[in-house]
Amino acid sequence: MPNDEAKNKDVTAALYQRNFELAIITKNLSLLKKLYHVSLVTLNRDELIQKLADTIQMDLELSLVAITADVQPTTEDAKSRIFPLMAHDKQIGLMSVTLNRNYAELSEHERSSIESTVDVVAIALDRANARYELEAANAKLVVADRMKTQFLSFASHQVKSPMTVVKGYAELIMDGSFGAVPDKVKETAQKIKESSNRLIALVNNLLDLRKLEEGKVEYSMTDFDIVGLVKNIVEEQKTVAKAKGLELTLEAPAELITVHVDQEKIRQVIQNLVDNSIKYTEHGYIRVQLRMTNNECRITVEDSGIGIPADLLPNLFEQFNRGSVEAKKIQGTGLGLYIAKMFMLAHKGTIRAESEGTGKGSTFTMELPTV
Amino acid sequence: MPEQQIKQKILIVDDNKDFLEIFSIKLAAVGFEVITANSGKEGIVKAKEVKPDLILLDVEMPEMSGVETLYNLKQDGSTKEMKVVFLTNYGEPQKETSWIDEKFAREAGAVDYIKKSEDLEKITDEVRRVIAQQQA
Repeated sequence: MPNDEAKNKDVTAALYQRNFELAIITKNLSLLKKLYHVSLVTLNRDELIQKLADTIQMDLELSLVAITADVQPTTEDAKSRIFPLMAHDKQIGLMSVTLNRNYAELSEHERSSIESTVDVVAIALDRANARYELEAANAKLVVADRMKTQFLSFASHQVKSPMTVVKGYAELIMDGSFGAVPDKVKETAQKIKESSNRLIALVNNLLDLRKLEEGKVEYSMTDFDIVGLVKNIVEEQKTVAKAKGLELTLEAPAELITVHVDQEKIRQVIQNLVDNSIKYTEHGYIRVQLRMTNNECRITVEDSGIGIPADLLPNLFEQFNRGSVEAKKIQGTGLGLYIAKMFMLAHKGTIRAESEGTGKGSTFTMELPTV
Repeated sequence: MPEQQIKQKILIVDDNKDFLEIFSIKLAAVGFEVITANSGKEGIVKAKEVKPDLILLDVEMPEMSGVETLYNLKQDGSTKEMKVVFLTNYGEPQKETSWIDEKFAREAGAVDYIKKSEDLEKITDEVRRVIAQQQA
């Protein structure tokens, strides 16, 4: 286009050999210097800025720009002239332009052409700097995030084995494997075991969380009977509930209900709800109900526990939400319900909580499509 | 016949001596004859020696991992029919180190998984269940 060509001529007319030297002032005030060979003829102003910015940014990343201490405009002779490159009222570099005549002999038009070229280069350099800094900052974040994840994983692995050993020995002491023990010792060993279990559960939750964050959770879906699973979980928890003086009951249909799910994940979700109810209930009952509604299987876990204040209900299934001051007194990771929600979503199911408020118990409901 | 001769033999292979002690005390207490090995290599030697009814094999071990150990057991005619259950730290295959998953473990020939962090009662129940299954 004629207009562009005219502009190109303006920009390039004064540049002999079509190259120029840049000295870039970096963040730590060192100077980087490089000779650029950019074909200015075929480009309009925007393209030129773009191309220069790309080239300079790449050089910054690869550190291809040589550091030099000698870029002060002291070597200026008649046929080359050094211009400051300005951005936001700050000098960000120097540009040396080689001319075919003495600067003094140039016409007004040629001088303004050079100045507009210097402007273009300054904009390009500024843009390259900004992008370079942004990308460097992003890269740092990515590395930091990876380190966090790796540390979490490492710490989890390192914690889990010793905790399991602590728990194992506590169990052996409890059941008299090392000889008869007084009741007080038995109780103490029981407490050690329970604390170990909590820590192991925390580690499991952290590992689950990591997998969820990385999108690496794998679901191995199979058909199986959910009635049997729920019965099994309730049976296992009965001793714990009884020890706290709580009544744990199950109401479920006699026939099989087949669901297509990852059995281990769904077990974890149901177990989490039952565990929570036991944990947050000091007196009364936990009622587990399993029902078929249309094409869905609905499991509810209802308790007479501390309940959930209305303002906490909406965020209950988010990460690290530990509810009221009362709830904070009870050990837990605040991750279980978040993981439960993510697992249920993956099964095209739902999970929700209801409570009349503090001290009025809670009801958790999960629904799964049946086969 | 004296009662001891009909005891079922369980070989436990784990690099962690504490786990060896905990599991062997518990399994011996419920009537199994327990043999232990501290590494995959030792496990293979003991497997040939004692011909256990079941091998409990730790997945994560230095030098020779549980998976490698199992592979070696499967390569040898005298041990390839032996029943092996992996002992895992996380139970769920996807929580294991990335190089192993359930499918792989089954293809490698392990019959099951037992979570080390389960209650010891549950672990002994699992062992009984697996042995009963194998005999059925």
